[in-house]
Amino acid sequence: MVNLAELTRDIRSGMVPAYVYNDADLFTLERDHLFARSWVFLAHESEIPSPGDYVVRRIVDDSFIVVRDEQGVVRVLFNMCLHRGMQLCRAELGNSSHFRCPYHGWSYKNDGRLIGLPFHGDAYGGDRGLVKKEQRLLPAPAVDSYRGLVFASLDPDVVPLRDYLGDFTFYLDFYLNQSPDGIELRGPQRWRIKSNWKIGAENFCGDSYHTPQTHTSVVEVGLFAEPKANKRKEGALYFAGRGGGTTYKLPPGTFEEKLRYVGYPDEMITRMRQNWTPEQQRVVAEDGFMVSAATAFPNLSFVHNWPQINADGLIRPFISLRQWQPVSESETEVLSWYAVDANAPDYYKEESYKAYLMCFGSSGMFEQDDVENWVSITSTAKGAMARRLLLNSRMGLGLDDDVISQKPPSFSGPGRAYVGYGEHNQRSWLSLWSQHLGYSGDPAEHSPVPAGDAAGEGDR
Amino acid sequence: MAEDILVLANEFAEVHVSKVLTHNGVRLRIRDPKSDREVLLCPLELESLTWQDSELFTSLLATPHGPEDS
Ligand code: FES
Ligand SMILES: [Fe+2]
Repeated sequence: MVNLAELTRDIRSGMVPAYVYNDADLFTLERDHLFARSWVFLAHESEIPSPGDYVVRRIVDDSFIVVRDEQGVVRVLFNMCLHRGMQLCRAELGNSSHFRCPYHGWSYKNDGRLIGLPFHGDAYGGDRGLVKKEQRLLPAPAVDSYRGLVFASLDPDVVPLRDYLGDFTFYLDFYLNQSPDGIELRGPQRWRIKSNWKIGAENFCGDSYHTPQTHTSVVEVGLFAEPKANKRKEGALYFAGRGGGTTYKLPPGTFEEKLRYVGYPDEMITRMRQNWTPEQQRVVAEDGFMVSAATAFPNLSFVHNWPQINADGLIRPFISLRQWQPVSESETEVLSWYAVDANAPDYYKEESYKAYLMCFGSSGMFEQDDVENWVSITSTAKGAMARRLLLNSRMGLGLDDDVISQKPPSFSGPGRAYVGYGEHNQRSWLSLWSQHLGYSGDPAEHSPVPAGDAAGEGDR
Repeated sequence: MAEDILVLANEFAEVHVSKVLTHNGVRLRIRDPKSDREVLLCPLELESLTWQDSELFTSLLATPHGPEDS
């Protein structure tokens, strides 16, 4: 059995028990505590724009229909027939005004109401045995959205989504709020990897250190120049509220020049100017940082890169959303979406989509590089020796827990930021993770969080 | 002339829709290949559908496999 007090203590000190990346008991705790209480991303509203559009998504084992009903209301319904429990929608996506169960034919309107069943009179004596209009598909206990991202929680008493995300929304808006109409999604591509789900989530929230090593070939083939070690280490790592991420340092220039450098056309830059707060603009223009990878706790990640997409040196940025959907302690279903400003011109959408496909998604070079590592960590973490090993995740801290990392000369965003390599973000993410496993003691008594990791952590 | 059939489907149903020329006019045929049932709707009936809301169909689907004879 997992010793949560010890685990929490180790995690807080930056020494991560290797077994956490492949342990069945921990997976049960994650499912029953963490995923049962957090806000979990399900879909973006642009995936279900018309009445009747639906997608089927999961929170670990629970399948949900995310549907826009005939009145235009987005509903999240437990995908299980009220009669004998058949999964009602089995296609991943579709459009229907009603759902008819394949087993005995109970039928539901797409707002969840039971509206028909075969032989109501003969089988149930009509309303004497079963009052149809009192029956509806079980709704998700809590549903909330942020800029079109629809989240659900299995905990009816969960804090509102905005409070949960906290100041991380400041950074989310670089991806989600480039124009008043927000983003639209394409996809997802969906595939399974033999990796623990936490490794991707941690990697995206702060691992700029792996880029020059793991992604060397991306630079060598001329796809993307920024991952070079000297470039990558100038970026800032931030953590705020329930999320953190990495950035790249941009060459000197105005707001417009910096966004042109990463490949945005002027009309999109104009809208960003109008849409982003002065502080958000200062992060780009004055502090000189451009968001790259990020993770919203627990398992939704973002990426924004700007590769070269043709032999003439054309650079186009892309945004991808990705979800690390746990299947078991050693398997993860990856959902990868392409995202783009809904107001972007068509030529841009096409070129940016190409940029995405070259880097991420099942054909992407970054994706292939990363997954090889994660699968290997997972399989190595399974055995007896891994139970004796604490992984060193202390980068950025001195031996006395003093902070070695430097603060950026100026940084206009909320939360905590350091420049250069460091594992402050992974430690913050793992601290949040360990807090969600149901340990009722106060870990701070035994092990205060190193001061350098404190900001941006904890309950918000 | 073979009729042009439009197939509309989702995971719950599949219907074949086509325009049928009668001696003196036209109807829309909606056919369910699974049960072999079909309905032929004239323009006036189709017009009347435009002023229905989705609740009409909800009430039609109260018997999910069609009419029950009992
Ligand atoms: S299980 Fe759905 S109708 Fe019986
Ligand atoms: Fe990577």
